[in-house]
Amino acid sequence: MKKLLSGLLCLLVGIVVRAAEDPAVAKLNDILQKDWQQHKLAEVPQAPDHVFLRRIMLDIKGIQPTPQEVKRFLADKSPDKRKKLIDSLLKTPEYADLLAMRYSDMFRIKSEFPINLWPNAVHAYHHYFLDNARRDRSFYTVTRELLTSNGSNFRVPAANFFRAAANRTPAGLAQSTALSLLGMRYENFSDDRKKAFEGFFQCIRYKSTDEWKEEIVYNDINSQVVKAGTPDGIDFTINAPETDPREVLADWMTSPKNRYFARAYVNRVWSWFMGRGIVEPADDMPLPETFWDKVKLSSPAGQQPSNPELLDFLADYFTETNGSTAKLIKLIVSSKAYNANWKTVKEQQFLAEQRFAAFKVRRLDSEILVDIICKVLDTSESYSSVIPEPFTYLPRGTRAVQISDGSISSRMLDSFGRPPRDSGRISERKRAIDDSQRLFLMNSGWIYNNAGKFPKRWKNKRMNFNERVDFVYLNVLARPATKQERELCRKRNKAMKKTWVFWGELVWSLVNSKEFIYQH
Amino acid sequence: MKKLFLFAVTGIIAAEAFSAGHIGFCYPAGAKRGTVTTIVLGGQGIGGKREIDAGPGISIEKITYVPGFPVPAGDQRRYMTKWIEAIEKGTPQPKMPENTQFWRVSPWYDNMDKLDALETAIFHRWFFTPRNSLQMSPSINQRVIVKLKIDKDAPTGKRQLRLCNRNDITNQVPFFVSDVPEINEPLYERPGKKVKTPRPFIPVPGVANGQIYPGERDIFFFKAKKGEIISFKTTARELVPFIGDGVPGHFQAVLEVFDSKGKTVAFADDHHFNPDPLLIFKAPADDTYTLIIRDSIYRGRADFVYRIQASKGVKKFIIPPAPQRIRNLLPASGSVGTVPVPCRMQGVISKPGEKMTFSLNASPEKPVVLELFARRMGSPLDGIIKVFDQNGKLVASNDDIKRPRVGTILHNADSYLMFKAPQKGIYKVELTDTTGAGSSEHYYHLRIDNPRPGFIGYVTPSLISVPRNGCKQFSAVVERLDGYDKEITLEVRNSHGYYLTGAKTIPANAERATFTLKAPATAKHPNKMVNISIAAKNGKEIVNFTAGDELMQAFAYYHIVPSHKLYIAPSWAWNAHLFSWSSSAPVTIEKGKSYRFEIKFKDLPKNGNPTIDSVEPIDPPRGVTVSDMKVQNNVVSFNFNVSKECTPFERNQLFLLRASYDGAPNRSGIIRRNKNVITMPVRRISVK
Repeated sequence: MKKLLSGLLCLLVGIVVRAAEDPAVAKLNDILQKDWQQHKLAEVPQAPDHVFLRRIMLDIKGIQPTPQEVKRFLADKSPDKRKKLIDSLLKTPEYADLLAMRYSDMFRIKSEFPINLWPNAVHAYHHYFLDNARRDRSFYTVTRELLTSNGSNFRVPAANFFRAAANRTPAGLAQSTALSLLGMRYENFSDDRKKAFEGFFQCIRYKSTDEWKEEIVYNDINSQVVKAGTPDGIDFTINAPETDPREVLADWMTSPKNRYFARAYVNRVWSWFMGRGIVEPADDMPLPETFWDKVKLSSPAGQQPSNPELLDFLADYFTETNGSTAKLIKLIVSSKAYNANWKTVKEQQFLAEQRFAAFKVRRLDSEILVDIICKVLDTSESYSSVIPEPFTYLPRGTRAVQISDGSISSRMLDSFGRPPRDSGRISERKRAIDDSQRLFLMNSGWIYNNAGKFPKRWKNKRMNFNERVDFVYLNVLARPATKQERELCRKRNKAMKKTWVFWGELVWSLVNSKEFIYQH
Repeated sequence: MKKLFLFAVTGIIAAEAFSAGHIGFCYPAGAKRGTVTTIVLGGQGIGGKREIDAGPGISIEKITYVPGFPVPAGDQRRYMTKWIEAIEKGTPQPKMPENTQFWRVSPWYDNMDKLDALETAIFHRWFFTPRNSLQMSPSINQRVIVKLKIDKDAPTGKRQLRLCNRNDITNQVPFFVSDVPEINEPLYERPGKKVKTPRPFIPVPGVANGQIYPGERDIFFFKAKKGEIISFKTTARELVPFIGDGVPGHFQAVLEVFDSKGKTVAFADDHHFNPDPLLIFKAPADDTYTLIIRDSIYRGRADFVYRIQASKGVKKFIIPPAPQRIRNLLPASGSVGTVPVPCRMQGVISKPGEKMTFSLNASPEKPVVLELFARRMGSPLDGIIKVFDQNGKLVASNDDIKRPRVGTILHNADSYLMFKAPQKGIYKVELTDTTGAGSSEHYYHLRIDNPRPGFIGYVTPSLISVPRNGCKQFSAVVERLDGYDKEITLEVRNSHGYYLTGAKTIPANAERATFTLKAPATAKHPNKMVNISIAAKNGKEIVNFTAGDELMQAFAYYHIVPSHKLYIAPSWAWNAHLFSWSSSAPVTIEKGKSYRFEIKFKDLPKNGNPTIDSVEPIDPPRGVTVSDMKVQNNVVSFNFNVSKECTPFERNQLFLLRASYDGAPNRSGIIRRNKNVITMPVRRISVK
């Protein structure tokens, strides 16, 4: 009887929770569930709270939770604490910083070769995306501005869209636009589609001023009849300059009926959080079906969405919410896929990751990893640039995520695969761990010496041994130590002759652990 | 006699060096009238000047020259650090070590306890900052502290401030006199010093002054009630418009406002085309807000100075009146249809994409000038003029035209079209913004006129040090208007005896020419710094040339920044009076040929073993070389060679003659050669 009652109680709670669940989240979970059932994947349990907390903070803010935040979250027993956490994280300035970094990769914000935006324009363009992220401006509105803005690269930031390309011919601009906004590989277009798409860009002109490196983007004033066409075969005859071909392109691009644009964007955002896109690579979207048989295929079946229903659902949601990135992110991180644990049945591990049933473990992005290393070690990298004069010195404490310019980097950032932003392709970012990275983490005197200073943090605090171990684990791994870990530490500490060295070594070894280096 | 000669030579060289003083920045660049304020001037060669020229109501109370700081190292640095700490604690000076033989010497090193707060801040910033991080540049390294008294009835507004002596003067830097409270950013405190600096609140209305050093952000605070509107107008680029070794070539300030929770609530980067931001802030709630100013790309240097003027509300925008040059034209009245020629129009492109159109009668015999005055007056309009025939066909258009680089506005966005109609008839004219922009501030004045050929002239530099025994070059730049293509003859007005020597005209069609100015004979010499003016005639009209200084931007471009006056300061050049051209007639050379120039000279003094080393043409055109110099029988002759590939030209060519002599032996007995430059009067050279 008791068992029956408790079962009924659980069912009731489930129904209540389910009823309280956002309908979009519920629908998303249904789509995922259906796919997992089709592939006969075992149910992967939800990730524990401390894992989820670290995961989501790194993915949304680019920083680990503080020990206080970990304790508060673990102690919170409310059933909707994850939802409340997501809502609060999406309002933080760090969220905007990280999102602006993603956009900067996507739109190639870099002052030097081959993009040559130049530092002042880089600042303006980056701040444009940062401000858009802060205000959650509709990505449809942003896209229209990017496609249609004219003006100075310094004073009209969106005008840099047609400057942030290595090749500024109509063909080059067509290529960069197709990649950034449609996630399509222009080189796979048929010749006639290439020519048609290039038509939208043939009236763009640039003029310089007497201000060093200022460039003004504007339209050709001469009358001409422009023949242009979209990748899905819609052709236009445009009387320029009365009608701006870019306005026509913007109308098509941001139309709610344009599935390609919405799919490309949601797929990209999905890949930011899930580690791979529904179409993978996330910027190699399938080309429109109308000329599928005319193009050469550049890649295997990876171009096709692994779950077309999921992709379409996200695209529809994105359109219905008027292009809100924050709402899209909230939907994704509320899903079962994002909340799932990383580990499942061994034989199903690979398939489960492919189908988003288990969370895909991956190495943290270069900027995020460098930032959390600095935070754990209570130090900072210094970033500067010799491109402008006087030189740029970013203020002490600037996080790598906040660096606007792809030309400003450091050895650590480069060795962990920070993208150079030369082409805007996702593949520029290297996430694989390699021996040079391992050697750096193990051998770096900078890490080791700063790890040795860790005990200064509890200088005036009264803590027993176990509390200190927890303090270290909370700061480095964002969770308390387990009983076994405390015991191991006790043994190690006892065995060491110089016990004060133990804490530095503990910090060092945790920084070198997979649990620290990876997003899991 | 020998010693007297050497003393005179040394003194003359020193005088020449001082007269080249250059102020790089002034901080703070303004003050409230009725106050005494201390400013710091940074520059090069600004030592030794005891007076100020800043307009009425501003005078010097005290002037302090900051000495050089030879870099202390090792034990000297450690000792000085300990002493600084002792001064801060109020404890006695530490005991000096015994061996200080190799310690570097500076007047302030021995008197660190006697420095006032500002001097201490200047010294500590230099002492505690790693050398490269200050982005040291010789052009701004020297410091002079000036205590200024601003009279309570001093006129407010922007001034030009210069340091001067009787016989020389520096360039000008802007200085503002206001009648609102002004604050400066807190003084620099050395790293590690525990200090409680009160939060600097910017007065509203009021002004905050500051400097941005590398990686710095300056922070101010203000209180505002919900709905209150406060405008923050930044003056930064206006203070130092061109930084020669800066890339970008000016301080690009940005403003950001945070609420008390640290959330960004406002941001401003520019104001239309003006790099100095204007932030109009409407407070979302009652709060204490933080205002941060920094360089857009986190650069910083001593000459990154700024003023932030805070005022309540938004200043009403008023379209400036038409420029003087077109005020005599009748304004076109009523709604624009067919307009008479000549006339002028005033309007606003008030919305993005808006076009202003009108018609006019034109014929092939009578060109019509359509000239836009917008950007050069401060309007953000990037105008483009198009002319269509009756069939709607575009027959003429102009977007931007090339003008001399004068002033601080860096985009010659104003259109100019001299329209020659293909046939007689009515033509439609359209004016719009090239980038499709428009707003209530996109104003313009349009001149619709018959051609009135003429010119506007500029002279650079604004301070010419003319040797009493020689001449000195300056440049004249003209903007030719409405097809004016004739030769322009310069004349000196209010001359105080100074006169042009060598070529006296700007060649036909040329935009720029070099001239040489000569001092009057000794008996008539004013013997002090004077103001003169340069002018030229356009028919009966006298066109005065505006004096200015040519400043470099970003290692690449040169811009003339107008000044109020043209100063002539006396100096001296080594034996310049002994040299003259054998002939000063204009010279015509064919391509592929050479011409042999001759400079005759009287006997040089025998002391110091003087030699004539070279004759150098300044900025010769490509394909021109000088060779085969000979010094014989008191004549210096050289070949001026023109290659076959040389593009034909007509110009005033400046030549510098370089000579040297042995100086006095130094303390170690070493004798060095002193090098001298003698400016020769410019020669008119034509190559066909």
